Amino acid sequence: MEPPTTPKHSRVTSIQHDSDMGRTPSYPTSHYPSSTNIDDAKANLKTILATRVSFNDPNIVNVLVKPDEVSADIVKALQDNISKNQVIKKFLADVRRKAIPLESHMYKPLVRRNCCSCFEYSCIE
Amino acid sequence: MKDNNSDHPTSEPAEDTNFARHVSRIWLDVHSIIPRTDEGLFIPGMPLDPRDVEEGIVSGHKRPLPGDDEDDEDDADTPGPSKVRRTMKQRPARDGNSQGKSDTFEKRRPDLVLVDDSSPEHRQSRPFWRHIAVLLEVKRDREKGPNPADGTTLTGLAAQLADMARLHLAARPFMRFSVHLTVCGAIFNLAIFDRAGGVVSKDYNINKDLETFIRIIRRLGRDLDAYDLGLDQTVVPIDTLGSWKQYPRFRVPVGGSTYITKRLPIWQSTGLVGRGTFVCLAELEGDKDKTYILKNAWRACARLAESTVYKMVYSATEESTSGLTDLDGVAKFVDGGDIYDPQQPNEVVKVSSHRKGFGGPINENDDPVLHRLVLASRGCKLYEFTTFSQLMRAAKKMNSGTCNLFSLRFPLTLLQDFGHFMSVVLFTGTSVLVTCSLV
Repeated sequence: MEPPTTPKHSRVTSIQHDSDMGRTPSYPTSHYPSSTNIDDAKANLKTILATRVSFNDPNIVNVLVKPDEVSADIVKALQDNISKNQVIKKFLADVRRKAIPLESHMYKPLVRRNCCSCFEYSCIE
Repeated sequence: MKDNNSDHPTSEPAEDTNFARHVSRIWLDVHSIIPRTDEGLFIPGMPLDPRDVEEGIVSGHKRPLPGDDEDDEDDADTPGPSKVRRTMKQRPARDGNSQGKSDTFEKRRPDLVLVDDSSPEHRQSRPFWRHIAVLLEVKRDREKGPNPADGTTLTGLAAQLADMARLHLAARPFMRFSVHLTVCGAIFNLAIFDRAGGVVSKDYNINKDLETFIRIIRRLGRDLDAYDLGLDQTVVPIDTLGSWKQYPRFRVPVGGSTYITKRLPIWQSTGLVGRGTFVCLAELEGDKDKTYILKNAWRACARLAESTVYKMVYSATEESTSGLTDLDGVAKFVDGGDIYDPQQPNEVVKVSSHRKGFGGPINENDDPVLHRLVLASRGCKLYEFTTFSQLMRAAKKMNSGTCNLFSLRFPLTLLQDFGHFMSVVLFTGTSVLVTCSLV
């Protein structure tokens, strides 16, 4: 009759990394374990937060920012400035017409994908 | 300090050494760069080195790396290029951990940020997360706004803001809440996120409410100080919040004493809803010889305060601990308790304290309370005991102290709050359960 055996497992000689203990590292030189990992944080946000956010609050701006405390002179000066700025004027007009260009239309693409499945500088062309 | 009607920021205060009152901020377009953390400070989900997330991407615009900062002092004012276009397959996740994800959680790159500026210092191209006072997210379509059509369902943008808020609160110490602006098509909103959740404003239309928008931007950039934008009103930063060279130190009252924080935090939570624990080293003001551990957290109000538990542990009678006086492995408690509101001295600081006048009602039993502890040692982990007899001695003390302490019916989860400092208590908690089950 064979003696009972104990399943073999690797001997733990030292705990060098947080990952050895299944933890997310919190600080490279710290031995303090982190109780938070990314997956937990995501789950936390998606499940718990859903019932904890108040939407369409009518008062937060007035209470927190108090916009009325800015003097009318400053607002008028800024509005005058905006009305003279062609870029901002055009932007606001685009917003009004829902015609804001996509970023890719505003700039020459910086990178492009070629047939070799790698990236190259657009300026090489 | 503040001059609402001047057109110049109050960046050069005369005498005030409370840097929270110094308002000197600039807007930065960071949508094509990645805000960073201080060297040596690691926050999960926040890349230490931008190269981690840029790897494999070849861009026509060489993005400066931290070491290149000296060469691009004006870069911060230069309009940024478009976001580098990447195929979904090759797009690295913004947490630097995985590739190919398009989840909104990976978009941890704000579009524009309002940062504290330290004008005497050389400005670098990549701001630190701790510089950020307000985050602004831009979407092309108004349908992508943070308010849901049904008024209750969490929208993608609200989740994205919350995710950035948790990183913001982790990186910028002693914050009560994180402030966000969103501009989606013609709609703009203001939102805050704190340890109990968040509040999103009603929709404003930039065409109809342009004056309101101007006023908000003006107030955020020039008028509101760091306390107005979420900093804990009981602490005083004694270095400029916009410093590039130095992680700011804070003057923090605990009990009847005041402590000065030292260097980078030892540990910080990265969760949004919950305790938001922040641990750092500190010294007693006026006494630099000894270093303490300062723990700042929002405790659940229905739970026993951690300082109370420490006081009970240390007040256990000699008989209950078998005549053994010192507690091996247990952190040495110095001071601590709930923090009282400086403006209303009879009230402790809660999340509801900064939500007066807006947001939905917070459940009385779910209203986190600001709590601080000062410890003179961190205790020992089980694997840190050097001799078996030392470990057994600690275990014996714990077990002998259980009759009194655990007759008070501590929930085991309470002990888990001590995870970072009281591993031996955790160990004992387990042994106590075993003991109870045997009985």
